[in-house]
Amino acid sequence: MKNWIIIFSLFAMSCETILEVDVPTIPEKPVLYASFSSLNLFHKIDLTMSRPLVNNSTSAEFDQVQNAVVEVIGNGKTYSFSYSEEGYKNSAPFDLNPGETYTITAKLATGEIVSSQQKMLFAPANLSVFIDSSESDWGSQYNLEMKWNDNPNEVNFYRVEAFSSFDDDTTQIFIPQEFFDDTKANNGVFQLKTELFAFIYDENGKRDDFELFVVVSQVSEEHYNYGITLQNYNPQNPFSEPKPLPNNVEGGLGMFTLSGARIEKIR
Amino acid sequence: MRVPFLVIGMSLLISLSAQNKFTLSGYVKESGSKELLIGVTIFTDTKSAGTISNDFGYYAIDLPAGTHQLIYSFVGYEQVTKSIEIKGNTTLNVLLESTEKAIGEVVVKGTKIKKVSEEVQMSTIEIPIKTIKEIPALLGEKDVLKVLQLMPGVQSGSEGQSGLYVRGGGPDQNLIILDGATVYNAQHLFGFFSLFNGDALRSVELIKGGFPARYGGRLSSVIDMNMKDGNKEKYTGELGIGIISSKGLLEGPFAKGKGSFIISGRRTYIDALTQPIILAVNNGNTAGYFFYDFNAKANYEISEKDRVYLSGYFGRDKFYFNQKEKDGSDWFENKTNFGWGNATATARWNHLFTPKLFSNTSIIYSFYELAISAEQKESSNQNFKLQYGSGIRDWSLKQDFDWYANNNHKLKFGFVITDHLFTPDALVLRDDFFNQNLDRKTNYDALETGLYAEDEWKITPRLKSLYGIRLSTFSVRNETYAKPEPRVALAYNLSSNLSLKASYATMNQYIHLLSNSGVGLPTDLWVPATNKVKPQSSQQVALGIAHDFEKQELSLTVEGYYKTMENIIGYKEGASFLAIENGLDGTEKISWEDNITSGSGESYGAEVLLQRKYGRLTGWAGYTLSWTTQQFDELNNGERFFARYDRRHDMSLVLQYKWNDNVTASATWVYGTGNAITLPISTYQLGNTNTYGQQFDFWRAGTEFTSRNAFRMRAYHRADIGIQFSQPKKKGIRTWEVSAYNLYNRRNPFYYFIGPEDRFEPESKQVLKQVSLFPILPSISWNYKFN
Repeated sequence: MKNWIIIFSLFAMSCETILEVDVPTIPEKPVLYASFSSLNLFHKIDLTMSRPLVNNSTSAEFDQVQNAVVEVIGNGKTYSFSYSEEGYKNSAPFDLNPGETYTITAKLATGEIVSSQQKMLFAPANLSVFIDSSESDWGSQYNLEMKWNDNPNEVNFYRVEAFSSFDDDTTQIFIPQEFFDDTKANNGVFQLKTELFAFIYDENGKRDDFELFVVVSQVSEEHYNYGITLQNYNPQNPFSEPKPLPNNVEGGLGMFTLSGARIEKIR
Repeated sequence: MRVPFLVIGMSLLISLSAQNKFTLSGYVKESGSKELLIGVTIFTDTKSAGTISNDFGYYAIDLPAGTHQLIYSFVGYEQVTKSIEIKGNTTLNVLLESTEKAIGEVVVKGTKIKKVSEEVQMSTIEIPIKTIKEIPALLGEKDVLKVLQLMPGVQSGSEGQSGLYVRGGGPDQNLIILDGATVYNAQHLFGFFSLFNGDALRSVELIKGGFPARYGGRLSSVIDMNMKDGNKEKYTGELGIGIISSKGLLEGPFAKGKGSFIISGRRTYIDALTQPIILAVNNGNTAGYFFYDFNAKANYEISEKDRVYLSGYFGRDKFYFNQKEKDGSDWFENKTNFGWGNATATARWNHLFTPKLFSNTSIIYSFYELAISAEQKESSNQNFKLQYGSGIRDWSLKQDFDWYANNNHKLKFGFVITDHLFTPDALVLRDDFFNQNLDRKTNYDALETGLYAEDEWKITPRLKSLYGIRLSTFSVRNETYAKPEPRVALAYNLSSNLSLKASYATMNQYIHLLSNSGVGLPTDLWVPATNKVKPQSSQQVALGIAHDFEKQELSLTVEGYYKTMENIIGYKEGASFLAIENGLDGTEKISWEDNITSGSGESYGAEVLLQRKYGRLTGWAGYTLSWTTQQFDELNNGERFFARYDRRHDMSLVLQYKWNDNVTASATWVYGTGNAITLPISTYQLGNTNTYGQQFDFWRAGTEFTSRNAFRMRAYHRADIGIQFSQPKKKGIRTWEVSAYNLYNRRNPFYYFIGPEDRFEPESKQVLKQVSLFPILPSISWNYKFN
């Protein structure tokens, strides 16, 4: 409310001028984004280019960079990724070994090289989920109480997601908070209470034959910071200090993350 | 314990140099009104002794027995020479005749005046009230703080703002005092006008460095303002009508001249003028904005040795919006208010223990609050009420002593105890629809003390020093800070008109202003130092020369300074005032302490001020070359960056010309390097996938910024011009003023943003846009001063 008044009063008195001053020349930069989970054997890497804000339209899409050599090296092996319109994908499946360090490298046809190195994390141990559900005409509400082991001798970070699945279609379900640090862990146990609502519908109406499961992943601090930043990411907010997105890619922008995940079925 | 030791040390020093002399003391007053005059220079014709009247017009000087010629000199007043025979301690109250003639303007005389080369204190600027009233202003609204912005070392924040940035310090680092009371938010209308238009003020002094020990609690500046006492001889008044406000002042005697009072007020009336239009186009709904100020002061002379003063300020800004809708039996009513305001009150008792020992005891109250309320009522009884507030309240006890030990030592010592009550937020929510009922209030009760002693010591005829120490403490929630603050200033006269000066000061500040707007919005929060958020501190050294060109009636000061600041605070990246507010949706409330981060700052530069206070043509030219940087571990990847208000070059030219007895013209020109801002420069695909590689917010893009404050806005420059026509009338003097703000219509930047070239085509190419506020703004005002 107060900001509405402030903005209104400022704009009421203001006038807008298109500047005729030079803005810095911003080179395009390679942007690499890859988020690998231990649950998957096939992975995707997005390789795009950033675009100067000035003199461009915001509506243009970011196409994948073609003709780049994209590889992941780890566990003594090199895994090649091939171009597709959706991103670079590995053709041969591979597992991610906890404790192993993986390096991702993309060599662009322009000669630019971007790379990032991350360590594969262990999945949370002894995950248990207690469920209290209630049904109504419009869907189901689940109150979840989850526990898993947390190493008290190190600082750990976690991501909690929920999914529904039916007819080979997996859909993410909203939960209020996804990323956590372990400051609330007690005696080596991280305990979390959360709730989720499942309203599963298709063209035929409400579905009852769906599966519901949660995924709990151990993530890196960079991954945690990235996720937290995205939760409140609003670079256009004039009343907020500008916050750059965390970046762990050398030679460009982006984020490479590896997470050890564990699934627990709810229904 | 250091301060008592220092006082004892000072006393020993003084007793060694004491001589067998008598004390001449008294008050210096304005002839006609009996208004006490602050800062009057009193010296013997042989210049063997001299002093300056204090904040209550009192002076004391030691003289040997015999006949002496005493000269009393003050800007805007006829110089007075008194011949007096000293046989013992003597009281001499002196009246100075204002050089205002019938039409109320200063006739300028080339008289012996206070010379900057003779003052020990450096980095200090006194602004005559008359100057404030003559300098052209935005929409004709005279503004003390905006005149201070025209001085070297003082910068404005953004277009039209009255916030002060002094030697690299933020607007929260200025101690603004009105009759001893701290004013926390000195701004109206989001900073476009300040609280002080000069009508009720007697003196304004700005100190940028080399702070005397009697001041404390802020890092960067002291703006010490005193209200007039009121005319003790007769009832007089003033009326003024301007484009956006009207004002009035009344002063006069009571109790047969033993007491006097002054009251003044100002209110804007844009809301009243626009209300009929708003009602017509909004189906009876009302909306508007106004602000008002009210000053009052009374004093009473109980005896020759005792005087009491009671003064106060009350002011408020208010936005309001009232809406009523009716459809058959259904109705809806909405009332929204957004207001903020200050209130101060000061009760003072002056007592003369001896002619050499002057005491002032003050009880001071200060209050600032921001209040937002929204109330909705419906015929269905689904009512909603929200009240949000923040503020700070102080109660202080202050004791000051002036001890005129001898002509070589003038001591000031005393203490202040302040009880602060901070309320960073208070929230009441009643929502019948969502069945929410919230009542939340956060308070911090803190105790701040200051114990000080300072001595103005004439070491040799050429070398003077103002040295002292302040011991400050601050206690809040089981955390106590205690810090010594040594201060010293030296002045060495190379010749009768040329002096070298140096100063050093340590300052501590126990309160912080949480602000991420950078423009001084009333939503900025005052918060205390806590165990997590340490007090701010600064150290400043300054070196300069002062030269009086007597023949040309010019004074020149050149100063260089270097200042470091520790534990300054800033919002963490991505954090905002709004984040503190959440909790309404049941999520965890974020503490303000977790939203901020601490760092350090550094500022250095050089300032030049060439000033002419006397003559038909008066004014000044100021230039500042400065650098201000900050470093926070959690901001800008820990790398040092320029402060938003870092300004490489800052220039001002102020000219006032007295054409004749009826006409005075004035003009100003200012130039400043553009503000440093963080600019979004590129956009890129945002990666945000879940464990299965699905991305839902594919419409969002990442934004890459320049490093913090790495982009410069365009330079700011502007010229204003004004002319005052005065004419004596039967019962007073009528003055018309015509002025123009931003004479050559410069489109100065207020803020930048990147948006579509064609605002109606969101997908058109993006360009950098500037928002400017004020084009050329002519104004006219009418003023009548009753005799």
